[in-house]
Amino acid sequence: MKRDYDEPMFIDVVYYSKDCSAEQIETEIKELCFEQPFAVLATQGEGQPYTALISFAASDDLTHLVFSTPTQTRKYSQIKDNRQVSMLIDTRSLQPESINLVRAVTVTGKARPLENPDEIELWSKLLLDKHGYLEKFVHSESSSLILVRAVRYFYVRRFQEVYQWTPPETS
Amino acid sequence: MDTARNFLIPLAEAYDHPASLLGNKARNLSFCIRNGYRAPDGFALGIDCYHRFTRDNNLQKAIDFELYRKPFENMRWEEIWDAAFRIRSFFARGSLDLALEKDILSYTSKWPADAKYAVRSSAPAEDSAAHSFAGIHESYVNVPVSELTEKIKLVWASLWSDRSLLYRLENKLDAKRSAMAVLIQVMEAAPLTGLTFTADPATGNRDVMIIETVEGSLDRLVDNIEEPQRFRYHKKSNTISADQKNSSQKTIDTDLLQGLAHKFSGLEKIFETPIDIEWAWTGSELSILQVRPITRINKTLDQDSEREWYLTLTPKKAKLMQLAERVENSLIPELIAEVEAFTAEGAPRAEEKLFLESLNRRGESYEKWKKVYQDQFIPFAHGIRSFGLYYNELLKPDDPYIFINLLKSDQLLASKRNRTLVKLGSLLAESSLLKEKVAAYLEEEENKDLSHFLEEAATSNPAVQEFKNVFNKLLAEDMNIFYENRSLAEDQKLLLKTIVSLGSNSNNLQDQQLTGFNPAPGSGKPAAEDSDLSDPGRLELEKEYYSAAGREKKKEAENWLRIGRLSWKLRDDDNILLGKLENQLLEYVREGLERLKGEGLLDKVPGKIALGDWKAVLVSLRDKKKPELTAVEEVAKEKRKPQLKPRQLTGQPSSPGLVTAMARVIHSVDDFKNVNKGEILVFDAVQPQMTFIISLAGGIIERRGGMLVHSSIIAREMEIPAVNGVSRATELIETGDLITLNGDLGIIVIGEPEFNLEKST
Repeated sequence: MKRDYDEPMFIDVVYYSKDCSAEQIETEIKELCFEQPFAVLATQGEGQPYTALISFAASDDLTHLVFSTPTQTRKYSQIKDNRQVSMLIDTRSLQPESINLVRAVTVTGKARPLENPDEIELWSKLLLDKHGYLEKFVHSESSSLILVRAVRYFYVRRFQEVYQWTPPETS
Repeated sequence: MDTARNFLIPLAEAYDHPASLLGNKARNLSFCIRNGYRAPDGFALGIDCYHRFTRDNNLQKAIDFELYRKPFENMRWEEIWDAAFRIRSFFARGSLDLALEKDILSYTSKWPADAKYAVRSSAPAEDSAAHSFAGIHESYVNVPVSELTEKIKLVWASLWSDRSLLYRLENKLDAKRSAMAVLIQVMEAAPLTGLTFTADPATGNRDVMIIETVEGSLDRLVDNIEEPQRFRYHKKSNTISADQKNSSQKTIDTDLLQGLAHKFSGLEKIFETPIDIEWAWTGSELSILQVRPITRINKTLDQDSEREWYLTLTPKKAKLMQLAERVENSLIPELIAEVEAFTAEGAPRAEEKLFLESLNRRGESYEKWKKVYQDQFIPFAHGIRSFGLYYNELLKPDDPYIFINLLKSDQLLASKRNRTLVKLGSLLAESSLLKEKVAAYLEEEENKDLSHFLEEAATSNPAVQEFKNVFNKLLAEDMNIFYENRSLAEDQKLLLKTIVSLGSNSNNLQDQQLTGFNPAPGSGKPAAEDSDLSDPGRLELEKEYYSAAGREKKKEAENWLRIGRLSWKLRDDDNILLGKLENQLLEYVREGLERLKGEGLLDKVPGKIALGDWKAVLVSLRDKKKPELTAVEEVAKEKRKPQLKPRQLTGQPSSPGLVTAMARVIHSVDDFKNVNKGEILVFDAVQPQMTFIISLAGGIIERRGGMLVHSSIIAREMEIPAVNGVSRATELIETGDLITLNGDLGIIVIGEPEFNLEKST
């Protein structure tokens, strides 16, 4: 629209801002997923949502997230029954003072316990690159490696700004 | 914790404390006293008092919430002003530590009860060698003891003023870790005051000292109210030369000036760097009011020019009063007269010399008013904000924007235009013959003259006749406006489509969203008098306002309200009036282009015309050569990437209400014809020339932000929910998106919360 002598352009940098470009949002989501060690995992069973804190890692293109869990846990049995899960990754521990600076991403997707040895080797390496101290835990007979195929990312920043980002189709 | 007593520091002792606690202003003055110079007696409040105040009143979170709502460097100046305005309101409503308040009272008891004080900012970064912050933070003079605490709070708040934030933005100072000390000094009467630069700030010449003086209080000089007398003192020859002076100014004794100059030189030696000094001559002694290093020597002024331009947008009260006088009584009548004269002159004359003369007159007039707009109208429009500050200081209301209700007026040119549109809508809804005719007209392929099309039907049908007359009047009086490189009167179909949509729900015309137009009873007759003025809520508010001002400040309060109301009206009207003037030029530029084409100097007359080309057209016609025309850029429409969808965007809640509807993104006036009533319109920036389309909106979203921008004003007038300051709104939102707009919280929700994707994979 009209931009003639109406307002001082020098302050009006929003128009040129890359702040909400797809590239910027993607970068911010990646930062969160790569730098945050922990996530809240939500599963469901018998109509009851259930959340648990997990250590996780994400693939470079964010199509997949991986974590490990003992097979006797509630989350494992729920995933066996219902693959639809959600994960929350956030920076609240870094920004306890400012509601505007906390960032969070909610991932929705489908989870499955890995059984194929090649797959297990590939994904456990990714998880252990980030969480080396979990080696014994991940390789334990009683643990299962869970792979989540991410469908959508809901990224929240500045208290109420929300973007939906979809990872690439193929992994 | 100990009381604040430790932080109330006598001025003479201030130099013993670090600048990080007391700021440089207090320390520099204290340093002068140490070296045998005189300064008005006073004391300082260290930054600990500020920290205590912000902690006790939970202000840090409030500041955080305002400033980190969106990337600070991406806020427009109007949004920064709004954030600063709300922060100031939080500060004004906060309460000072009781022990500190008691200490201040007990300290000031050594001066007479009727003593007046200067309350000045002394922020740690201020007046340092690197940054001056000159004129950025607030200072108050002539403050009675009863108002000291109020003014201290406002000085603290000025750490977060719009000016201060912009300055920090440019200088990359950390807004978050800033704090402010305050210097309080007893005021002294002085017959002569002045401002001295011990080196020439323009050239950096250290052999010359610049001395400016005014009679009486120094703020008359600092606020540019009075033109000072200016002298140059040549250090080497010990001589004084005077710049030209007004005949009304008194002659100043050269001996006195030389004596002062010697003292200033001494001070420069003590500070070991060129300084600027604010001073007063008490009649027998030199009194130093402020000293700071000159930060600007040898720097180009360009880098400051934008900020300085911004500072001219916020004129002080006396300037605003002068501007109000000039705008109301000379500029606006002159502008209207000029438009009328051009209109009366009519179509371009065939004779080339006469045509060129007239084109030149119109072009010159356009250039002149463009400058008046920039230099006087925009700063005057700031009167709304100044009134808001005054009102809030007086009443400290819960809602810092309540003052708007005192300013609203249905006499805006845009409101009058919109009432005419409503009337046309009702006329159309009531006559089936008219509806038929208009439908047939819209079916026509060419953009014919509607009046001509209705001619025949009008002779036998009074409803058609009336519609035709009102429509013609609308074209001639309200749509003869230049906008987006064309005249709004050109596209009659577009206008008619708006009217049809307005008439499409005639049952609600009078009572629903359109009540904002305040049509007088009897279907949209223009209200002769401002019905806002007699609104009971407003009368009540006005009563409260005057009662808070009290008898003593009644005159002042009246003046402020007058400035506020005038500024409110001008803010909207000026664009429309200028649009009319531009339209007068457009017709002639187009005629000139046609003639150039006729003479074979131009291949094609462009559809969209840049008015600035008038000179090129004139020169080409005169010299018979090809013109160099400005290319009018088409608006780029950047598509949203499918991988990223906004789900929720935020902005400023600029008009309250909740609405869910389809989005219609407006890239240009061409998009107006597709607008359906009730849609949420998404704009980059709303201008008063085109706010008629808002009559159809169910909600408004705008990229440009501010609680007092045009769209906020019109949306509130019409009670349409609106959110503005939404970054990249026209790119992130697409026509057809389902939107829920929350005008109470400034939140926009896009799309429905489906989970189909998750289920299908």
